[in-house]
Amino acid sequence: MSDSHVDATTEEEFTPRGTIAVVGLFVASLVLLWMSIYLILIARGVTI
Amino acid sequence: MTETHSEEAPSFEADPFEKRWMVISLGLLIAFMLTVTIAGFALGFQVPGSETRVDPRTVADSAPWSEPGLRDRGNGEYDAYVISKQYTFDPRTITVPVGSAVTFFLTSTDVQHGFKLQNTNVNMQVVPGEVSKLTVEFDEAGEFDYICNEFCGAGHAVMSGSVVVEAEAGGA
Amino acid sequence: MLTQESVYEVTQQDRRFVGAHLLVAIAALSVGSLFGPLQAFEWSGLDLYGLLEPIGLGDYYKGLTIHGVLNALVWTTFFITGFFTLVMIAGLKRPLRYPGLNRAGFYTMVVGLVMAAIPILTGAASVLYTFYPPLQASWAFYLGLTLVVVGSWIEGYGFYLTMAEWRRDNPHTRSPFIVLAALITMVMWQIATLGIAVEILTMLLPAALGLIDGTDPELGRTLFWFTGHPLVYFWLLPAYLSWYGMLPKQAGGKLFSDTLARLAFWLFLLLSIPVGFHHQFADPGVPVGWKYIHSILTYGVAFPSMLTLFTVVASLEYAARKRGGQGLLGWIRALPWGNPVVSAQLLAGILFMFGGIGGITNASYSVNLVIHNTAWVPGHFHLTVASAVTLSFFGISYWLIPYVTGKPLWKEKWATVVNWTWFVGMMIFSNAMHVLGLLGAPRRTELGQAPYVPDEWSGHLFRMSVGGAILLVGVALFVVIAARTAFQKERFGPGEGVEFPIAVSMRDPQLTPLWLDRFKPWLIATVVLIVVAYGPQLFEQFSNASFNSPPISP
Repeated sequence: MSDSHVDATTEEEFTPRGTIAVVGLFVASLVLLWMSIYLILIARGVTI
Repeated sequence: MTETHSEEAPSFEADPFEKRWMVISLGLLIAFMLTVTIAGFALGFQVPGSETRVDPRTVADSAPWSEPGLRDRGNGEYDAYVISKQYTFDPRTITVPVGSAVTFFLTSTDVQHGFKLQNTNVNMQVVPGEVSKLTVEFDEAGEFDYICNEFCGAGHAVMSGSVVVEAEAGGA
Repeated sequence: MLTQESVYEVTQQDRRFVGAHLLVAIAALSVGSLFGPLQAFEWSGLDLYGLLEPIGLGDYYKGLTIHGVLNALVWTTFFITGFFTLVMIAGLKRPLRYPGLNRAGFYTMVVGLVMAAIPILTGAASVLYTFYPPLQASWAFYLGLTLVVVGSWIEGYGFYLTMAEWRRDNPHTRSPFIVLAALITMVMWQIATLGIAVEILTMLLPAALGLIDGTDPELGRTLFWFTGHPLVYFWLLPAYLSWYGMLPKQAGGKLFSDTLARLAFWLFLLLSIPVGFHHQFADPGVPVGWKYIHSILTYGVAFPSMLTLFTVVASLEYAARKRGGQGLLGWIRALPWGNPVVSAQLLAGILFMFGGIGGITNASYSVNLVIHNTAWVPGHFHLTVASAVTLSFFGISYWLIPYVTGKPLWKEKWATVVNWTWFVGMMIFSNAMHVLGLLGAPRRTELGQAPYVPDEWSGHLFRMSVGGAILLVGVALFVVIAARTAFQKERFGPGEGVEFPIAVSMRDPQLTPLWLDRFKPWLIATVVLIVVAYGPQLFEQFSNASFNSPPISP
């Protein structure tokens, strides 16, 4: 875990850097797309 | 609990990054939930709820459903009673002045229908035996189609109507 | 006594039994899929139903019912029960405890399928696969569907009894992850289908037989969606099983965390069911408070999927780095994309990320009003059931069919073509559907007949039909590959063949806590949560039920 600069090939050293990147991309898309639909809701006006 | 083959005892272990991801994803979901909670319960972007029950066989025989259409409640507020049936809405056209707040009441005398008022958030399931209710404010003049968006039989696709929002004619 | 060291060879009979499931599943897929593109073409102005009129298939909604029932219910249920049968046998390394029981379950499903197919094909059940009352189909449709569900229950009982015997012989060993995953899925399905069972047995079937004059449509909706949402997890969890328990091995790595894989599946058992009101946000007859509570719980069931994202991607990254993958994202290229078993599941996973984003949107209480009953919804579930699930099942088929037939996969490269075709077609199709939904296009509507279609939609309608055409090519090629593989003369030679894929966990599963390997606490919690989240409103709707909505044939 200490040296994350080296691409790990054994379980002990394996740090899921790429996974964090993929998950980060997912979160960015999620927030962006979700917010855009939420804003459509707001733009279409209240229902009460 | 000591029934393990290795010297280590069983325990709940997760990768430190994965633990952080668990916290982040829960935080994200909570943030989204708070956002929709505010929209729904404080800002007036609310879903339909439980209204009165009716008998679908006789509902059209008595008021208010015996005379579907618009009721002026004053102050620019209207109630619109719309009956859904295969394959038409009654009435098919509703005309209101711009700036009106219209509360739609819908019920069905046969099968399930949908009522989606285009370009607004009014989108309701119309179910025999129930009354669906939502309100919309028309701030701009124009024509808003309402369409049946629940399958109701062979002629489902033609089932639609429209709200005509007229610019203030006599006044301003 | 069998011990865990014992080696059990999967028999010819086992293989044939699994193969019979796959045969029905793929046959259903091949017929059901023909109607999808027809619908897409109709929407974009190319109405081909006239050509099908002479063979009695000219009705849009009959075709839509066939598409939904065969693809979403039959293809999935038969594939899943067949796949799970092998997971139980090969995972526990022992035969089914009562093979006759599982056979009885399978034949019950087949009888049910035939019984439901007859009214569907004769036009006596054009009620779509949600069959909302008071739309009325023939009694045979409801009884047939009931038998399919009951048959799947019986196959589940066969699995439970097999597991019970294994547990007696191995009291201290953690159950194999894939077996636990299959069992959790079947138990969840067992509980979830009680809703639809009550709906059919108390309302729809009696009404179809003329025993009662009417139904309570809102109660019907509540009961349907008690089953309807967990149904999508019944489809999805077998794909997750493969992503967690097989794909790491197929990609050349290990399962990143056995502990979290199990936790995710238990959370699915707990949270899949008490979320149904998020399909009824736009309903009358359900108080806003219950809708809101189910919205929160639906967000809860998104959590194990987010866990899955991390664990599965980390397992894949580990495999890729072992294969020499470099860089923050460059490792993705080092995955064995040339292996169609792997690429199908990778592409399914990518499509499912978008499906997940759409799903969280659908669950978001009043945000749902933007998309309820619009084309967005089929756009969404084509990313779930028709991508995450179906494309993963394609990938599983590429080893499973060779495994059960003893014949090598016919033209492996073409299988890769299927995967990419499906991926590209679905990207185009589902994106167009989502956009159309946001513009207001209704779902399940013969749109070519509709008077309210604005010009604004036409570009997206065209795009959607292009996607549909590409998907048709993909599925046709898949069916050809499956059939050519199964019915070819060539067999595996000695020493050749397919290994049953089981991914090893990085940490010894024996170190996973015992509470992640025991049904009792999770079952109790599941039942309690269902009672809390559904009990009061179900009681309310049952005690105020009025069966006064007369049945109407569409």
